Amino acid sequence: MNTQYKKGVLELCVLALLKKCDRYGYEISEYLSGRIDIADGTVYPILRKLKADGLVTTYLSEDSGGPPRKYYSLTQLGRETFESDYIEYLRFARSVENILKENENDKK
Amino acid sequence: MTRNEYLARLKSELENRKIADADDIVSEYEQHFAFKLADGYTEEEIAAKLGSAKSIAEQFGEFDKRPSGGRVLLKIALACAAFFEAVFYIIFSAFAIILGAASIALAATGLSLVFNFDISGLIPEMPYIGALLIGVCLLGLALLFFIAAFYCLAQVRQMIKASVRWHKNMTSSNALPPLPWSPRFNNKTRRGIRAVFTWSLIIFGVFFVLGYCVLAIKTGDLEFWHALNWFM
Repeated sequence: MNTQYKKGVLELCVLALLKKCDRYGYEISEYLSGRIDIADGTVYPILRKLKADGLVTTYLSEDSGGPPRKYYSLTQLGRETFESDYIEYLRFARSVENILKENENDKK
Repeated sequence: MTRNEYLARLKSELENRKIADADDIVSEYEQHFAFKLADGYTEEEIAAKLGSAKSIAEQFGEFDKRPSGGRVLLKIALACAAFFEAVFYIIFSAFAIILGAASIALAATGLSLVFNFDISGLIPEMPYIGALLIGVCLLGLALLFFIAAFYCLAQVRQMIKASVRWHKNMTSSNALPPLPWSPRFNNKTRRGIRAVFTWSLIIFGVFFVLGYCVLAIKTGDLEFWHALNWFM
């Protein structure tokens, strides 16, 4: 599947992940690449784009011992964007599914 | 491809596209390698799973085309803010130093009264018992001023630290946690400050009233400073 198409959906997935708690980049990359077929490296540009758009912020935390980890955290704007995009996406996905199924049945 | 080759290629691909914060981006991939290596993958496997350095740099390039005008404007705004902050901190520090000077002056006056020193006739005449009480009262006040000066200095120091951190966070893409704007003392210091403050306030209040009463009784005049001809 074409990556360009996945990207918008991946942004939504990242927002969903960050809604529960702050996470560092590797955590997000592992979670998504474990469930969706994407290159591991694709997640970091998405995180950067979300930050440039003001949907997430970052901070460094040394809590874990080792070198400081860069954590991503949802902003108020990110939260609001997620709430509206989430509903919109589900509606869109349902419509796409219906269209695909209807036309499949017609063929038979 | 090894880790170092991959990171070097990514860096040059990013720099060719003039993407901001290339070092910062590369460090994120460096961490990715570190985590994956710890999980037992080889450098080659990790590099292959990441996707080509070129395609990643392209993905960073897709949205990094914002005009630089915003950044320049931000820098100018921050410089203006820094100017006003500096003025404020200078005035605040001066205020703290004045409080400290007042504390020293009050302590000197109090000691002169208590030990009956009259340096070049600066201390007004009064019965010694009154001078002793007023002297102790002034020493209490000196301590209060000292505490105020100490606290103001700690406050201004913490505010300078917090605003330096804030300025750094505004311009860097790697935000460190913001610092508190008021000083944080450990429990021992805090208890100490509170105890000194309470006691000096009590000493000041009690000895002020005592000194006033004693001088009023001794001179038989509620406005004893007239009876003692202080302002003649």
